[in-house]
Amino acid sequence: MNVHPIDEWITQETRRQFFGRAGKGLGAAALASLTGSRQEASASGRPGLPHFPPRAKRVIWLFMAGAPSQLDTFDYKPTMTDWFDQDLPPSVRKGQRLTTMTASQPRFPIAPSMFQFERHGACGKAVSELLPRTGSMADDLAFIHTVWTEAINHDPAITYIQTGNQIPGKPTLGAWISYGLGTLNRNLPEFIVLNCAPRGQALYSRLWGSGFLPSIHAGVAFRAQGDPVLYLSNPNGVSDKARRLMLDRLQAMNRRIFESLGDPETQTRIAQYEMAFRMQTAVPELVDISAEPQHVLDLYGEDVAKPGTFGHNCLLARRMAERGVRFVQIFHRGWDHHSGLPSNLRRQTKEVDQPAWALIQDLKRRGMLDDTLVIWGGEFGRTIYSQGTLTKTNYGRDHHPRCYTMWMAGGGIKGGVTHGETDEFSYNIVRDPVHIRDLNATILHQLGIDHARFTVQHRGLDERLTGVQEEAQVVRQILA
Amino acid sequence: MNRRSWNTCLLGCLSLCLAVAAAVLDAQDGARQSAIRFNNDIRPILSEHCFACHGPDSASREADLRLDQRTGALASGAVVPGAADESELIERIMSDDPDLVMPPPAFGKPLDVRAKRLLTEWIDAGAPWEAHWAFIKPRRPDLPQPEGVRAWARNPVDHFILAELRRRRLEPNDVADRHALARRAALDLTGLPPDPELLGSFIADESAGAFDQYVDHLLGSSHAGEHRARFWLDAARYGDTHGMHVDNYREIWPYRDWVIDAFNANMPFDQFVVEQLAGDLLPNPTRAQQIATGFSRCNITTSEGGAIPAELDVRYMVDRVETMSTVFLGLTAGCAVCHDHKFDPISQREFYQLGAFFNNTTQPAMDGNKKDTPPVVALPPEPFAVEWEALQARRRQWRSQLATTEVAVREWWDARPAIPQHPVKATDEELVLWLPLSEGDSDGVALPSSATWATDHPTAGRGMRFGGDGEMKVEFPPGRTDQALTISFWFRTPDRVLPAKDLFQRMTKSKAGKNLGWKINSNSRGDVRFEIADGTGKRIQGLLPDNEALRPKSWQHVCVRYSGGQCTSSISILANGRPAFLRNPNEELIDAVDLPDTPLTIGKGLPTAGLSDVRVYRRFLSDEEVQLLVREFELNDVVQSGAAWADLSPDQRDLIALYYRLNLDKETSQVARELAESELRRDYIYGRSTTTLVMQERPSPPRAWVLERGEYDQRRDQVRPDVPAVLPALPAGQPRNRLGLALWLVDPDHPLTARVMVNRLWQSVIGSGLVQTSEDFGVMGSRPSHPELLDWLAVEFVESGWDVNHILKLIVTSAAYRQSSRVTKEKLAADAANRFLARGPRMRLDAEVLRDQALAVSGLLVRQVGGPSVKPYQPSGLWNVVAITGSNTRVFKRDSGDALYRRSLYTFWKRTSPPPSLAAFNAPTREQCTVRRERTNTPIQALVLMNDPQFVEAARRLAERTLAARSDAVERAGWMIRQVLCRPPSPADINDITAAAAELEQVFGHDKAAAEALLQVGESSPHGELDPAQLAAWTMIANMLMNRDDFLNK
Repeated sequence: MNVHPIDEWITQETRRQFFGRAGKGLGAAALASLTGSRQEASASGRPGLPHFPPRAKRVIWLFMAGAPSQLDTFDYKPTMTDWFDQDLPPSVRKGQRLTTMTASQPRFPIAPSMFQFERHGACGKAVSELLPRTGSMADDLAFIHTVWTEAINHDPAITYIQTGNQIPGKPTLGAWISYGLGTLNRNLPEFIVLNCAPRGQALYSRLWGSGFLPSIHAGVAFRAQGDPVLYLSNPNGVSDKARRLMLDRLQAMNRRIFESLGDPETQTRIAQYEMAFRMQTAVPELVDISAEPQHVLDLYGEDVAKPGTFGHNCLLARRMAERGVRFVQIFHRGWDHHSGLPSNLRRQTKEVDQPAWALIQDLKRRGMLDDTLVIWGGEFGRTIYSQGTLTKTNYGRDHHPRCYTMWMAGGGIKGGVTHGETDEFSYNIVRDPVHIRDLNATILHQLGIDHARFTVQHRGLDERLTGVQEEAQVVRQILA
Repeated sequence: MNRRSWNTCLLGCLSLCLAVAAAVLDAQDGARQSAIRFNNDIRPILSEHCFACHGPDSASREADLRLDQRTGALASGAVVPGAADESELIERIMSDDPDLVMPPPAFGKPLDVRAKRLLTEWIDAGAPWEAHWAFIKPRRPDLPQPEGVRAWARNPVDHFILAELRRRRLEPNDVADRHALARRAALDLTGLPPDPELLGSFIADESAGAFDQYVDHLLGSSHAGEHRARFWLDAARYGDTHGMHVDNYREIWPYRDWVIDAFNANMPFDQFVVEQLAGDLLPNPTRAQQIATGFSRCNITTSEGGAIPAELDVRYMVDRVETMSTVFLGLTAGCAVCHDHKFDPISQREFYQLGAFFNNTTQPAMDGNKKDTPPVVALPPEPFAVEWEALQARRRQWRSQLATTEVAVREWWDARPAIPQHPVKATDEELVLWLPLSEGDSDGVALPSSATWATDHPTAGRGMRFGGDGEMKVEFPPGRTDQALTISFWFRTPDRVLPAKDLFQRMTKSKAGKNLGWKINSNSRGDVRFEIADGTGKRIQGLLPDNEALRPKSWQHVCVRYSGGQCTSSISILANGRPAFLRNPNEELIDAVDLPDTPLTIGKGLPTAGLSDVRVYRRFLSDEEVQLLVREFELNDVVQSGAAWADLSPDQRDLIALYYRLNLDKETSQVARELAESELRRDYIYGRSTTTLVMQERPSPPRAWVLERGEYDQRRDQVRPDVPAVLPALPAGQPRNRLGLALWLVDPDHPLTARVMVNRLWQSVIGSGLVQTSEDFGVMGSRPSHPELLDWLAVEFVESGWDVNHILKLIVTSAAYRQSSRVTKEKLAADAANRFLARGPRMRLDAEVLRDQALAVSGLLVRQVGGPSVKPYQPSGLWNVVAITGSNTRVFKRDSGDALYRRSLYTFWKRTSPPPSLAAFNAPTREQCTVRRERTNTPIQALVLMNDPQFVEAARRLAERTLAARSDAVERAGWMIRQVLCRPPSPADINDITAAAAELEQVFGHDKAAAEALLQVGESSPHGELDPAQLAAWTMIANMLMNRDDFLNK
């Protein structure tokens, strides 16, 4: 693009002016909206960031929306077999609140997991038979058994873990990271969301929103059907040639407008139209997996060719990581098993086990696992007692916020580690609780950010991902 | 503090002299000089560096030192007026000792040299405190008379603007070109480009008052109210769905239309505030005043299974306080939910006192996932309007009759009555089926062979359990789909895990092969669903929500009622006599048709479930009658016990009295019956009415509780409604409820309401507010760029009778507004954000205005005002990808015809997936109150404007009109520019357009198929007689012009 030197000077001048006037907080952030240009405003992230050398450059979060049962996947409770259909002792429940779905149940009969657990790797981690591939890489993973939250229902809980607050309106983890660290690439967003096919509980666009941060940091939800990015394609009948022809004239007109009015926003707009044109090439290239060799496709399993599946999305996540997308979040849905848990969980785990394993292997082979943090987990856990009917092979589990399991890998995380311990009912935490704020603090830490110092002034408060006043600790025990 | 440092002393003496001298100067000319002012110089330092630990928040206050109030600071010795060197504050901030120095190094916000100097000088000057500026009532300042003001100013606004420009040594720009000015004013006041005719007459009118007249014309247009409403709806967080979890449709668009009408009528702003916050509490509120209270119903709600109502009630209350506070007070009260506000003087207790105003609603916590979560008002279509009012009045009268009639229960009881077989009086025509299903009771029906008698029924000896082949058929008389029906039974949820099976079913196929009849199904999860279908494919349903489902493996009484109203709202289900909040997946109306004679099938496929005491009435039983059925066995027991009246418990007496009233007292039983029967008509009309959410107060006095850390189950002190002490007190003699609150807000002495509103009006036209943080006038908010102007406008607003259009007209007819928006690099360097207006405002248009403008200039815009929200183009699958199964906003069904071309404020707003093309231009999600939008400039925006079908279709329509209107390329280019930019073309533009047209005509001439494909974009059909290649080329030209920076900006 041909930028006139005087235009360049004015753009620079405006930027400097803005930095000078408001060198902190949203003032500086507002620069992004003033010039709005992705490269300029956020390439460098916020001044002073990262706070220390990062262990991870990027994050891929495999989000299991609906809340998988920790009891049937990773938190092995062999003694429960003897407790089949016995009531959960009040001394365990301790009168803690329940959802209104089971609060009126006359009994809280214990439902032991019907699945076998096998020990894996040098670490000997017991993992459910439902997740054999995940088990096979146990030595690469750090399991946290004691993640907990206060929220007991999906909407507030998923909003909470994504934004640090149960009430809508705060920026999400991905937006904070994009805001703080800026972009690693020129043509793609720094925060991308990949949604798997709809099933069960709802998602909300706020789960990748930017809250009070400039909206340029919001996640861009790629779509499985139609344009991967909304409005990306030219209208039917408009070739690249016709578009370029129109753009060249448009840019000439816009340059004249700039000459007569002098508004630097016009300059930015000229640049953004060029960026849009580049995206029209870069995005289709990103989502086109046809050039992937067969052995890589095989790694991700049979669904890999089908857009919208977890397998396909895991492969896309790797391609995005390669191209410098800072934060990718895949939402896999359908984990809310109030009834019929065994059959539903079989289907769910079958869908995610191999692709999640493949992603780790693929990253590893490319030498990217070291600086890519991968996270697996949902918004809360599930109860040891059955909701509704209980038989040996059929049961349901209600929401359980007081403890659940997530795993992390790569990006400076120690493999083969199990952190925290729950009681024999996986109902209460016995040792090393990890609040979802601690989890977010840990993720930021791996990216070189001290969560306590990563603040944005909004409405008079120094807002943080981990809350204005709340405490949060980095889970150092799982760091390599 | 005894240690003296002589150089601070010297500095102190010196600065004291300076300060005194400056104060004198200040008093002389009213201008701000170098004197230290607490609000300008000191408060910002204290709030940034000190208030976190020494501010209004009592919980985090350290060393019991409070610096936001003079008394506290003086009493502690931190500040000794006139003696910095004796003040501990100075000693501590100057200290080199890391253990003593303030702020503590760990706080991370050290003071700089300038701040230390200012604090020292200020204390030496006597440490004068001021209340925060925004809490002091505005007074009308004298108009400044800067040099040259007579020549330049067009109204008082300009005096303040020019004075500030002079101070900053900036020169205003020349007046903007008349075309540019006309376009700017039309976009700012109506959100649309000027109508060509209006524009033409303005340009032709060279008289001095031409622009004033033009502005009056714009303000008088019905589009002005639409545009103004659009800003308000952001603040009110208006949306068309509930916003959480299932995110179903919510009907509240009549509130949106009320806002439009209010602005179009230029309703005085004080009335506007009072009706929205408390219209329902006004004496004899009109329908419109009730609708206005939708303001407090726009918050997001949920009905998520498992949610805890008490927690939700608190969420809703907090949201309402935050919204009220942001919109009217410009204060961020939300911080005080968990603790005293860190910076502004709002204590946690005061927050909940504000909460109490909103904590007395009859609204249920769970929204039921229905469009009409009560309280609502119904707006029946014209033919029913009169009847509806009469019916309501009649029902009110019946209700009060029932409540007041004296009954001679006691006498009757003493006579030792016998209770007949059926506790609810009904004729044989009404009670069409009675199946006791109890052991030894031969019902005259063949029980399935595998059935067994129940052993766990709450009344021994009753109930039957279905076996493996559980199914029975009984004769059932014919009926109609508009006939009332009540099905009452005891049901035992099955032991086995079962999917939904039909418990009762009398369905046939219509001639069209569609279901005709009704059924009730259930499953082992305890769901109950009633469905009635009219044989045309239409059906209505009522479904118990998750959190009201029947308990597993136990006997419960269930009563399903249908009033015959042919709509979803005429279905109700009562579990153990408690009316449940039904989930209604579809909102259809069904036809009134005959139901043929079909047997009723019972219990098919429900082994291990149980049933007893089935009664089916072809009548709508009242809630009270259902109570009698639920407590039938209890009633029998009491009667049989022969207990004396004195020995009955109050509960038993109530039961006896209820029975007597409904069955034996002639008058009351008649009234009860009429009340129940009137439900048919009520539901029939209601089902055909628009409804809208409103506020309704409970009779008890409002109150709330201080919540520890804001947690709903940590109640501390109970508090009554009140306002923060830092603001004026509630007006005497007014009620302590929302009405009192509203009247307080619009009291002429209130320091905030008027300032906050005029600031937002300014922001909407100028781009940023005089107070840039228009949501925060508190101590952490930004200082006004022109404090006197803000006060002048606020006073003018109140004294004009809260006249919104008067303020808008003052702003847009000012010389400041009329300037050209050209900017030099010097002006950019001096004022990049244009807060001081050395040039006219220029900014990217808001999302809605961009779309509306494209529709308008193309000729597609449908200018109808008001009505239900519409669903114009959006890419497929966006709702589906986020929605939960069963949400009625999971499938996006695009509207067609006129609905595609309405103004954007009528676009259906699904809050968990807002309209994407608007969101791309910073439209908020409407999940919470927004009074200030961002304005970004992104590549996604370019993609929307170039590729979104609604913009492409608009381009094609404009091209069609252009080709029809003019015949050669130069003329066409000029015509199109006039349409799009509302000004004559420049030669350079003509050259660019004609050259591009020639190139593009060639491109499409070579590829006819491409041309045809482009012309097919959008629902409207392309002009058939035009050459496709030429039309496609000019479509691209129009698309290009609608991407010009001067089209996207005002």
